[in-house]
Amino acid sequence: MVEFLVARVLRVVVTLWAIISLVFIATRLTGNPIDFLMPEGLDAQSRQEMIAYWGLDRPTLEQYLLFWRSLMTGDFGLGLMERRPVAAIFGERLGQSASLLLATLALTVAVGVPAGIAAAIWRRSIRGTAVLVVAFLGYAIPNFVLAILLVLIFSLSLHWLPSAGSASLTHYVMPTIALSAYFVAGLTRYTRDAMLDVLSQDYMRTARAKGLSEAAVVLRHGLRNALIPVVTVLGLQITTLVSGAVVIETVFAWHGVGDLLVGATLRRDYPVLQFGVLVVAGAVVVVNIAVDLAYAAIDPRVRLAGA
Amino acid sequence: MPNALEAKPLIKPVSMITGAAWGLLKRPTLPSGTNGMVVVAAGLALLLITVALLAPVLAPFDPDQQKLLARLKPPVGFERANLTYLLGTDQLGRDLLSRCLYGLRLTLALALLGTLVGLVIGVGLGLAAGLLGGVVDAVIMGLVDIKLSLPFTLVALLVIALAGTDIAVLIGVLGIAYWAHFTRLVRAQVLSLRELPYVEAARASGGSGWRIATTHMLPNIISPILVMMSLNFSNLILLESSLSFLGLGVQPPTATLGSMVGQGRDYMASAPWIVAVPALLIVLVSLAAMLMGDFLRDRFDVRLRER
Repeated sequence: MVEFLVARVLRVVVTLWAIISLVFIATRLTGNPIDFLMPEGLDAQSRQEMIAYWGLDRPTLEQYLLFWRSLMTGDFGLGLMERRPVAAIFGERLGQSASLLLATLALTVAVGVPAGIAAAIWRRSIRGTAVLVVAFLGYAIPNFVLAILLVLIFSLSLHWLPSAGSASLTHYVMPTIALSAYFVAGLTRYTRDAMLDVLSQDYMRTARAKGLSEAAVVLRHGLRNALIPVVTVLGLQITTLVSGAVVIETVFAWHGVGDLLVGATLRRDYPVLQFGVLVVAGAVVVVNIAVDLAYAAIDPRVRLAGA
Repeated sequence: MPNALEAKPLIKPVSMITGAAWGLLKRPTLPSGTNGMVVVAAGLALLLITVALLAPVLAPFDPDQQKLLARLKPPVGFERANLTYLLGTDQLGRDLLSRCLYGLRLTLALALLGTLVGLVIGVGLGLAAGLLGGVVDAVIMGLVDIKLSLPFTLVALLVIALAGTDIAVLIGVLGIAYWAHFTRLVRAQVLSLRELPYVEAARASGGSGWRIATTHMLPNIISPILVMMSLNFSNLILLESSLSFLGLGVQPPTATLGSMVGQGRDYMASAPWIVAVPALLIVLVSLAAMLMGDFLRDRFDVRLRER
């Protein structure tokens, strides 16, 4: 277990180091970062001052160390649009994004797992097919198109739901659905496959033979075993989830990190973007490893399969 | 019905940080009883490709031509519709049918180019990793892990912020979106082919690494690569649409389906068709592409599973 842990953590450290270094290199390769960090039309003297302030006139290695220092202290300068430290701008929006992601995860599990079980139990009937067809549609319709269609129907035609903002609970409905559809579809499929595997096991026959009700058999013996791969899959999808959130937040003017990053890209607000990419990428990598480790703790077969 | 052995790879820790790969390989598919759908999908795909190729012939107007007197005409079948503009016009009086045809054409072309770029990068690296082994293999697979552990949207935002919104940049971004999947696939195939007698014979008779790779290995792994290409193609259609939707892809006035949806959002309340027409077309394209990808995968019965 210790060996496994060390190998995993080492890999995360290397990955984080590579991400940070790649961002550093990318910004230096494509010109003087000061042109990204400062507004356009800066006069020559201020430009020189800022270059000195950020240490961009020093040797590359020293710059690299300075880059690390600003990373450690969280000092990545001021956002170009809002003249405030990027870390502060970012901090304000983190909560909004986190709550959208949590709502999405909750909805995904609440719908995907039962739908998968239903599809497995009804595998030979038209109802099971119907579940799979709906899942396929949920998968095939791009999230932003689904979002737009939802807005057209529920905001503009029916006036049931607000189309933009993140102020109240009703604001959560459409972004959560638009973001979840893809994952609900995927989870339905995974749960179905996992359940079908489990349903054909000997211990299921034993459970029935000893007189348990069908519900008890499916839920107590089937679901518990089927959930192991399902939990893994949820963890695996975190990168896709974050990518999706970036788009969905933009559609619904959700006051979160994704919306911030897209805006920063459009307006070339480089300090915000650089910081955001580093923080979100770092968070995703760390969440991945957490899932990985948690999973290894639950299921000893993972450790045996090798680190 | 899948058996217990089939489910084993789900608990392999090696693939823990590769959510995107799983999303790609084990996505929801229609149940096998719905083979008639394949005919429909193939027909739809053919139709879409044909009209895209024939856009200059079929389009009644120049897609970028503005006619201020014919602004905001709804599609035929609605009040105030004008028969000249079958699908209506947008806020600048541009014919939506023409824009859809040209937009579809550009979307398909960009997805194809992106797929080819990803193919060249990914297959090249996969061959190198599989054939050369050692440090090269470790570095390349390390890059693959990093690539797969990041939400790709973040990478895309960073690249676009640094390099600008140029169509060449967009193709590059699409190209680096899925290279890692090709690399994994090709490396895995090379590793298993390497042990086969005929490759050993080729090596014994003095064939160079390059020759073995191109004449002995590539022809044997062409069908999984083709299937991977078709899956990537459908994913790139969505990625291009998302980026253009966000305003980070193809720039106005040039139309792609995604940018039409993105630009039309401001008029959703008064002229919903500007958004609805390209949005529904994206759904059709996406459905056709996904069904075809699944069909090819099942038809060639390729094991796209990771090692």
